[in-house]
Parts: sequence; C-alpha cells; structure tokens
Amino acid sequence: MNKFFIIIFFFTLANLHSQNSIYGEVKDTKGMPLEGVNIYLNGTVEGSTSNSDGMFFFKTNKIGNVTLIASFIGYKDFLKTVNVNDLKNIKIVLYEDDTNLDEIIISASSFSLGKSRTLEKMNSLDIVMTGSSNGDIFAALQSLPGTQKVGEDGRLYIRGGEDRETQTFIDGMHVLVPYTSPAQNISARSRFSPFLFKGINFSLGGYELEYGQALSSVLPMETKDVSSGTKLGVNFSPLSIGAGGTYSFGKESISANLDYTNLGFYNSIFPDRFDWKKDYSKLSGELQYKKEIGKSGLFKIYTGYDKTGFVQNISDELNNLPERSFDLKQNNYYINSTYSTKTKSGFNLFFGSAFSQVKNDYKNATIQGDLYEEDLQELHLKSKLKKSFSSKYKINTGVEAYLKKYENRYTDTSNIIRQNQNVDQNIYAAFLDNQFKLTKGVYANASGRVEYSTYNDEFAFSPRASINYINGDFQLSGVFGKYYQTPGNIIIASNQIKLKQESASHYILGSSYNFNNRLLRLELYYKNYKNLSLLENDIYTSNGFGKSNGLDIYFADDKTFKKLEYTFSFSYNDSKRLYKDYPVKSTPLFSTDINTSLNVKYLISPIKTYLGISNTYASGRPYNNPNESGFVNSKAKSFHSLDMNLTFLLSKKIILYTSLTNVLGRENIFGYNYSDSPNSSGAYKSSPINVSRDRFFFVGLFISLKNNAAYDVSSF
Amino acid sequence: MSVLKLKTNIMRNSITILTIALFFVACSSSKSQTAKETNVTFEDQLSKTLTAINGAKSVKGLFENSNKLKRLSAIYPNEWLSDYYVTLLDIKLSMGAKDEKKKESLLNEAKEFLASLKEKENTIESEILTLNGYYYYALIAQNPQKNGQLYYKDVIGAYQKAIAIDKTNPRPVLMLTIFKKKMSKFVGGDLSNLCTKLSQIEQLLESSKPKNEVYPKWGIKELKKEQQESCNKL
Repeated sequence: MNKFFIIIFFFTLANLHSQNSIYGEVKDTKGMPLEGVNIYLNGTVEGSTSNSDGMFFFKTNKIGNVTLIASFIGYKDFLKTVNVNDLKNIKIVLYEDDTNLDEIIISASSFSLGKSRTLEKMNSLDIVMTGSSNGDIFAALQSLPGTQKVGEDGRLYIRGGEDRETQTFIDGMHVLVPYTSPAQNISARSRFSPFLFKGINFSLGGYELEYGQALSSVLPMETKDVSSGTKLGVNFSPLSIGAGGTYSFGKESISANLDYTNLGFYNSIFPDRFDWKKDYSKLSGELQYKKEIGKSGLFKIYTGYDKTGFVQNISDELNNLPERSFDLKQNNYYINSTYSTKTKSGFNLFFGSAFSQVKNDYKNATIQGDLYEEDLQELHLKSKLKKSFSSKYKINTGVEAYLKKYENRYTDTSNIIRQNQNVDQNIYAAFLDNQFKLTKGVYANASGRVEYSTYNDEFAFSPRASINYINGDFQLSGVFGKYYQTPGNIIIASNQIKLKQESASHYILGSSYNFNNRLLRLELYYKNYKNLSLLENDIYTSNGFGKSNGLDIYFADDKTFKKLEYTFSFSYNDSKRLYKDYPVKSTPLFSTDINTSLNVKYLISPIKTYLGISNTYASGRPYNNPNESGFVNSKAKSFHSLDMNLTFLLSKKIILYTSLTNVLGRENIFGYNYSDSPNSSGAYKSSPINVSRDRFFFVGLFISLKNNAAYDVSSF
Repeated sequence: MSVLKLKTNIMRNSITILTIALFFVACSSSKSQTAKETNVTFEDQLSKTLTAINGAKSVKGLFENSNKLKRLSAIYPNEWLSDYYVTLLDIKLSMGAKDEKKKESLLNEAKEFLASLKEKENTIESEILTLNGYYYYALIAQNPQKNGQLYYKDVIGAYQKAIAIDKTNPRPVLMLTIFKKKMSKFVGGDLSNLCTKLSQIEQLLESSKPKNEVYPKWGIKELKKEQQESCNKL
C-alpha cells in the first residue's frame, strides 16, 4: 500500500515538470508535404512550423483536451480537438481554400479594362495607345470582338445591335448621352477622357441585371478613387487646348479639367470633304470631388458641362434641294454623385443619383429658315446592397428609378410651330442577383429584374441564368438573359398608339483559356429580338422582330515577342430584322458579316517611344439600291484601315502623342444614299457615304506642370 | 485497538491524504503555470518575437517567427501590430524569394492582411498606408517590366497619403525617397539633394518616439543601405 502511494507520489511529482510532445506531418490532398504550415494549440503561442518534409514537432505543458490548428495561406484551416496525448505522430491533410466569390471573375462576354496583372485587362494608357483609338474610349473598344465597324458614325454597335442598344454607366449611374455630337459622317467620340477611369467592365451581352434598358450591351466604367497627389497639366494640339489638375488634401481630392476644341485651324491646313461656314467647336469643363468617409465610405460627385456648335453648308444634290447652312448648337449637362460604404457585418451599400440634360438646337435643319429643337432630361436614382455569404453565395440587390422627359419642336420658315411632341416616361425597377458556388469550380447565377414603365403602364420581367465552370486558367460559360428597352424617343413621342417594350433574348456559350501569358476566347451567341418598332401603314406598331447570331474570337499575347503585345479579334455576325421602315426582313444597314482587328503595341525602349498599330478589316456594308429589286440587296466594298500612333515619352513631364488613321489612304465607302425619286430615265441617283476625311493626322503635346509621378498626363 | 495499530492507521491515512493533497497541488500548479503564461502581456510576447525576428539567422527562422506572430494575432484579435509585422515580413520575404509560387502566395497573404488591417480600429493609419505603398512596391519588384507601369502611381499615392496624414512619420518619407530614386533610373530625374534628404530622414528617425517598444520604428537599416549605395560613392 505504501509502495503504491509512493509510486503515485513520484508519478505526481513527475507530472509537475513533464511536457507533452506533439508531432506529425502535414500534406496536401495530393500527398505532397507542405512546408511553412503554422501548427499550434488554439489560444496559445505554442506551436511549430512544418519543414520541407512537412514534419513538425513541439512540446506543451497543457494536459487534457486541446484543439490543434494547422493553418497555411491558400488552404482551409485544420482543427482537431483531442486529448493532448493523442497528438503524437498525427497526420494532417490540408484542403485548398475556396476562392472568395468576390474574386471570381467570370469572363463570358465581358472585357475588363483596368488595373490587374492578367492579360485581358488593359489600363487607360492602353486605350490611348491603341492604334485606331486617338484617345477615344469607344474607338479603343472597337478593337475587341463583337463590335461592328460603323466608321461614319463611330458609336458602338454590338453583336448585330444598334448603337442605342448599348448603354453607358459611370460608377453605376446612367449617362444619357455619352457621345459627342459631331456633324454627319464624322466619327462621334466619348465625352469622357479615358484617364477619368480606373476600370471599364465592358459587356458584349448577357449582362448582369443590375442594369437594364439596353437590348444589346452595357459599358459600366468606374472612376478613380481619391487622388493622393496634387497635380497640374496642360495639353495642346492643332485642334485643341486644355488644362486640368487635382488638388488633394488627405482623404479628399478635387479635380477639374477644361478643354476647348476648334477644328478651324486644322481644317485650313487639312481640309475635309465638307463645306464649313463655322468650324466645329466645343468647350467643355468637368469637376470631380471625392472624399473617403470613415473606414470604408467613399463619396464622389462628378459634374460636366459642354457646349458644341458648328455650321455646315449642306447641299442635297441627290434630291436637288437648295443649299442650307445647317447650324447645330448643343448644350450638355451631366452630374453624377455616388456614396458607397461597407458595414461591419459585411454589407456593401451603394446610393447614387445622376442627372443628364441635353438641349439640341438645329437651325436650317431640313430647309433654310427652319428650326428643330430637342430637349432631353433624365434623373436616375439607384440604391443597391451586396453581400457575400461564405464562399458559396453572393447577393446583389437593389432598386432604381429613371425619370425621363423628352420634347421636340419644329418651327417652319414662317415661324409656325408645325410639330411639338413630348413624352415623359418613368421607369421603376428592382433587381435581385444571386451568385452561387455549386461545387468546386462550378458557379451559377440566377437573377431577376422587374421594370415598370409609366409610358405604357406595363411591367416587364427579365430573367437571367448562367452556369460557369472555372478550372484554373480555363473557363466555360453558358448564359441566358432577356432584356427590355423602350423604343426610341422620336418614335414614342410621335406615335398614335402606345408601343410595347422591345425585347432581346440572349443565348451565349463562351470559353476562355489563359495559357502561358496568352489568352484565347471563343464565344457563340444568338439573340432573338421581339416587339421591335415597325412602321405599318404610317403608324409604328410593336410587330417588328429580328435575330442576330454569330461567333467572336479573341486572342491576346504579350509573351512571344519581347516588348511587343498584340491582340487579334475576329467576329462573324448574321443579322436579320424586320423593323423601322423595312418592308421585308433584311440585314440591317449597320451590320456586316465579318469584322476583324489586329492591334500591336511595341515599346521602342532606347528612345522611350510606344508604337501602336491597328489593322482593321470589315466586309462590305449592306445597302438598299432602289434600282434593283428587293430590299437591302447590295453590298459596298469592304472596309480596310491601317492606323498608327506613336507616343514619345520626351521627359518625365512631357509626352508627345502623334497618330495617323488610315495610313494607306483607302477611300472607304459605308454604303450609298439614293435620291428619293427616280430621274427622267427612271433611275435613282446615288452618292457614296464616306467619312469627312480619309486620313486623320493628329499631334498633341501633354505637359505636366506639377506632378509627383512621372508620365502622368491625366488631370484626374 | 492497540496504539500502534492506531498510529499505523493514522500514518496510512495521512500519507494517503498527503499524497492526494500533493496530487492536487501538482495538478493545480500545472494549471497555474499556464495561467502564468497568459498574464504575460501582448506587448511582451510581441517584443520577444520581434527580437527573435531581428536576430534570425535563416529564412526558416523568419517563417517560424512569422507563424508565431500569427498565433499571437489569433489570441488577440483586436490588436493590429502582430498583423502589421506579419505583413511587413511577408512583403520583405516576397522580394527575397526565388520561387515564383512562393512570391505569389506571400503577396496574396500580405494583400489579405492589409485588407483586414484597414478595417481594424485603433490603428496608426499612416503606418498602414506606408505598408500599403510597400506592398505595391513589392508587386512591381515581382515583375518590373509589366507591373512598373501599372503600380508606380499606387506606390507614390500610398506614401503621399501616409505623409499627408502624419508629416512626422519618417517611414513613408524614407520609402518615397528610395522609390523615387529607383524610378529615376527609368524616367531620369534630379538626384542632387538625395543625400541631404536622407540625412534629414535619419534625424527624423532618431528623434521619433514611438508609443512603446513594439510600435513601428524600422527604417534605419534601409536608410543606411541607401546611404551606402548612393552617398558614400559620390
């Protein structure tokens, strides 16, 4: 008995100073040992780091039940609660982490331009340096597949859709008129400088239901965050002069930009095809204020105003109409304010409002002495909520309202108002977007959007579903979405009967493969248009319809050649529509079968110069020749243009930008206009549609007067 | 019962009681030993680990101590300094790592920690912003050709914000000066007052009084290295 107690006595003493050993190995699911894993007891600093064989060893004073944790970046934490004595020779397997749903980027039908280390994302400098762009966002986007070259117009025509079917958003808020108003057959440009933005998420179809009222695609652009450096710069070119800068004070910054463009001087050296009485001029000013509020709040307010004017002598020789001095004056005002924040429980909140006002005055619009006025206004209000729940579900939901007013007025040569049409339309919408992770590498989206329009007192429901398989660098997606858009202002303002919302159902199958710094994307799509506005017996009805299907291929490579990046886009599109004044279903006049674009960017480092080259080819534009039977029965010659630009980084503060479009000087023809009635021999006279000038040469000097960064030409 | 038997019984019982008592004392003292550990403050444990990091003889030692910092963070989730030093270490290790995958995973971890540091309360914002700038600098170091153009403005922006919030913080001033000097190799620039600037920063470093031993006070090593490279050669 005594012996027994003595044994217990010494055993107890031994326990006072003994430690328990914990050791084992840690491997991944493939059986490979993991080095550097943090293995420790919960609530203590006792632990060890695994070595190159995945082995670990440490001692602890703890007794009884303990929780062992193994954690390593990129892997799910391993936990085991047992008696400390059972942690000898333990075998741990770590499972790879689920990627956060916020970080999954599904690339189907979308191109993101912004800051990222992957290939398909360019930055604003890339936009400027794309050979054919001349610093215009919309022109740079036309180097992507799915875009249609409509050279005389310059706007975005996406996958067999009209320009009005693509809508532009800045920081989530709608921009009613994102294009400048050039004269006819002069390419329109974006109102906004690419340097305003940190990212562009261009969607070619099947877009998320946060957006609506766009039958084809959306172009959401994000402005930069609060600037941290004060800067000031000026720029000059033969057709413009501008200045701008940013003043930053801690968590706030205010930026401003002023630009004046006048083609008078340039036209005197390089005259174009048109006859100008007063050259095109535009004065524009922008202001943006940004403030960080608290830990995660961001408030931004942007406002821009521009005033455009020109007088062009137009003589309609086809119809033998007298000459008139077509006089355009446009005032465009836009203001956009947004507030976004993140709550402690992880809800992302957003509130935004935007107001657009455009006033167009056309003097001598159709005949000398008349006046056509147009007034557009839109107030857009939007609020949304986003949250990720674990790595398996993400919700994005919100409500928005569009309050629109449109008015036009036509005053004839005797000062009598012959036409005064207006239409007010409010659209109220709510959307719910659900993103799921079904299993490893498989994601799905099920979304819905409800819209109510006060124009026709109708509800419209848009569903969207997608399934995506992502395996490392490979993605495969199937997307279905149905989208609605109210017919154009001029139609609904004048029409006797109320029209339905036009609709387009998108079916998309896309794949994307990133291999060794090269990217290949292939997409097939089918769009089914219904309820298009169709002129029947001098009244518009909603009986029009159409379809558009095609294939888009995109290849980007910045590895094969040193200091050289190139992208190649190929689009095939087959469109047919019965809409507007078409008597039969035909190929729409803006759509061509084939569009291809090859873009090369090369850095000539010894002279610090970037060379951008674009080679664009598009098959001939369809047109209607009334001298032949049928409708849209002919095809013009194909389009071809080789464009180049050179950006010279002359010094840290001076950049010289030069560009020449259509270097080879090809006379591109975008179709033909015909006289309204045949001549004495019964034939309709024709004249080709070309652009104002075949070649456009531009040179611009950008000077940084004050800047802490080098080669920073942006005012924002 | 005889007295002897009684004495034996009592002795037997006493020994039993004594043994049992001792057993309990032993158990409780083991417990109190662990209790004693948690009485050691966060600052003390952090200070010990930082000393170990500064004296580490190998990269392996650095990784071990980085893990220790992470364990400390798990015990004290409201503290920011342990996360701060893990991030700083990750950034430095990424620039020295040879393996691309290792670089990438270190930078990813730094990015995650930075995101959570930005949300924490009671941090020194100027130091977090400096760390942010340093992170972008490490991204550029990962692939200078491609990332230089993308991130150079972020590096400068983050340091400038840090300076705007606290002009007396020597670290963002130092890092910005060093970065500008490195950039001047590509964009050209005026380096004539670099050494005077470095001396000024040295003064600032020496005169700065961090709140306590574990608050960020690094910079002298980097400054000396830069002085040796650029100023002693002149």
